[in-house]
Amino acid sequence: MDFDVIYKEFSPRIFRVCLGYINNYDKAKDLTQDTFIAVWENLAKFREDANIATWIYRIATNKCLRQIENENRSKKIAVAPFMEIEDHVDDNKEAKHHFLRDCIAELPEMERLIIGLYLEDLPQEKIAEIVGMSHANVRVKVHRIKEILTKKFKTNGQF
Amino acid sequence: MDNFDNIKNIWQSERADSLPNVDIINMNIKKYKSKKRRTIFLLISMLIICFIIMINVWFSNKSTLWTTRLGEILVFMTIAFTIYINLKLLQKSKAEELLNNEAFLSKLKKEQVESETETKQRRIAFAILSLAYVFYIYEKSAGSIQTLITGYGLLVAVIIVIWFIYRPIALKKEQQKIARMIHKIDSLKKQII
Repeated sequence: MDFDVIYKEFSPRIFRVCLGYINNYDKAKDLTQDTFIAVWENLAKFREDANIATWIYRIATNKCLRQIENENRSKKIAVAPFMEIEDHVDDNKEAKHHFLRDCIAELPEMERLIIGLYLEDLPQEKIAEIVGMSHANVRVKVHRIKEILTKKFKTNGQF
Repeated sequence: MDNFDNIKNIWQSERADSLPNVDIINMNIKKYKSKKRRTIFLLISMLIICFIIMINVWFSNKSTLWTTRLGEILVFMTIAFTIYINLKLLQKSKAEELLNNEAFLSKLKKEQVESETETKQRRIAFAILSLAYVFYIYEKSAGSIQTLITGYGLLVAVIIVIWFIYRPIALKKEQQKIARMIHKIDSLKKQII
């Protein structure tokens, strides 16, 4: 498996999952980079018969969880301004991104990861495998989070 | 298209184009690799240099007392032990990152408990070094009562400062940090159940 191909294919997805968890643009970039360094270090251990996506998401989500070692993590993370974006970006679209990130940031940590993986179109059984939870439990959590997010978007007239 | 599909579209349209390209990632991996190698090289070099210095001291220092020799051996033992601890830490496997989140958190909790063992090892190193000092200076200061008092007085003062002032503060801080981490890990694990 070629590392360059893996990076090109998975880095935007991993970045979004990390951003959903940490709600900070720069830290999400760092977490994405740390994830791919770990991917590169462990690539030899990867079994070809396993699912590469599940494997990479497992590393990424563990990198996110390791953030608790950072003492400041317990404090509420301020949402970083969406910098480095050129003028042509649609403000309305960006406002929606911002709103979605803020809604997810209000969820407990594990739910932030679960919904991030779900929004990346990962099947629920794979999410259960990554988190170490039963499939039934994941299904219940996903259903609950979907309800919360949909309600918030409706209340705030984001649809 | 239902409402949640709209949310999914918003999520998936999040821009990730400011992420570094693959060449920069490869460059950072190389830097990371060479930094790790450099640290290992530096630690091993330090061990070799210390060994050479110790042999040199052993043969150039014509001591008549066994206490001096014992002091020299203990100094070398402390240095070797400290370098060994650091090398071990450097080679610590990150294989736990391949586990699922639940197992990873359990491993992280275990790591926190084990970090107390590392602190104990460093304390042992300090104790051996103090003992080495006690033996080493005996020959040099035995001739004069004033030097003897100054030499050992200095050691006692350092031990008092470290043991009764620095250590309790550092220990309290470390234990608080470990307790905080364990509490946080437990609360994350509860979210998985």
